[in-house]
Amino acid sequence: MRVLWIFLALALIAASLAAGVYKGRMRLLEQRTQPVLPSAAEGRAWETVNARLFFPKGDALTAEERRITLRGASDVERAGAVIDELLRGPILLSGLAEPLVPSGTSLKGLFIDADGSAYIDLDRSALSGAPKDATGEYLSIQGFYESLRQNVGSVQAVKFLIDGKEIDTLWGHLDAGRPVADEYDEE
Amino acid sequence: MKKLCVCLIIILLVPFAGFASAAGSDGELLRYAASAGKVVIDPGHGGFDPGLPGEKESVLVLAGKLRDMFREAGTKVALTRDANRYVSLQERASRVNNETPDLYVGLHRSRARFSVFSAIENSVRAESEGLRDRMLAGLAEAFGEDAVSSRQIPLYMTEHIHTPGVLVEIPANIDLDDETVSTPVIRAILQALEPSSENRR
Ligand SMILES: [Zn+2]
Repeated sequence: MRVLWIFLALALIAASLAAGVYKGRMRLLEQRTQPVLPSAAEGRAWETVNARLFFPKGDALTAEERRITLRGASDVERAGAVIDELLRGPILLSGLAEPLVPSGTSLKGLFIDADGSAYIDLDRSALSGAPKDATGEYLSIQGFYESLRQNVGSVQAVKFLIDGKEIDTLWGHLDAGRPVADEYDEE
Repeated sequence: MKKLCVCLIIILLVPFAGFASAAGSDGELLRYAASAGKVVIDPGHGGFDPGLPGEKESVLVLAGKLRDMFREAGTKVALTRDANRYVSLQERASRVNNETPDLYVGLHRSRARFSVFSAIENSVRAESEGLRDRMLAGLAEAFGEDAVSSRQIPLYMTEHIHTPGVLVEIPANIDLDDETVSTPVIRAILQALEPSSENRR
């Protein structure tokens, strides 16, 4: 009986590891260009790193340190892990910080081009149910930008897609038709 | 007896004085509205894009009020939308640029404070910043310094128009149906159109 339990536990661990690797593979497949240089972590096993995540709080962004687990292979995988954490939203302890997009929003695809622009493809629920004013829209975009720039070496700019399509704006105020960069640098 | 008469005359004249000053301020607003030759007003959102709760409706009503005042003052005026329908930002900007107006005014609502964002294209930047600063000063005068934010953000409209102009965000908790509140907002917007209004502060 005890042997059976151990076997079941091992099988469960193996299955979750395989699922993680598969998810990472899928993300790599979605990378349309081949500019992301393999980082020094290529080939390493799972690792836990400290990520600095940025969320809106009042009129500015607030940083939240969080330990995230990743396989550390490429920048696109690292960026994917950071975005997955951002989509989970701020933890309660950070007080009045707000999520960047409504909970339940998922990352449909991600790639980083040769200029270091991260193309973040979110599903439509990013836009539903949480309207923003110009400052709120700016802070949400800046939260993604700042979190990627500080945690993923090659990212210099971000651009958003919704359900794989180009959009002119996310919430009706800012230009989402081009990658945004230094004008979103934290003051 | 003489004192009583003077008092009576003053009491009788006070309501007329009030009326005269109200009429005078309307005339003043029309004079400000006349200081632009051609204006495009851009009420934000619309259709499937609601903006903040009540935003797409309230900015359309305010745009209508401003349009009527500009018309009364003899100023040509166009709206980027005059009904509850979606107009993309790209379409709005090309409409503004095709109309070649003297002035652009975008209208939105905000969650907390008044904001005024100015057009950034080089040829119109200085004029737009002057307009923005006068408008912020007028709003601060009417609603207090804490009600106003001077933060500048790169907006689609202020980046893409070739016309002097500003996009104004009015706090969502301000009831624009209440004339005692909407009049100071309209006054601050129109008064800023006249560069000399700066000197009176
Ligand atoms: Zn708006």
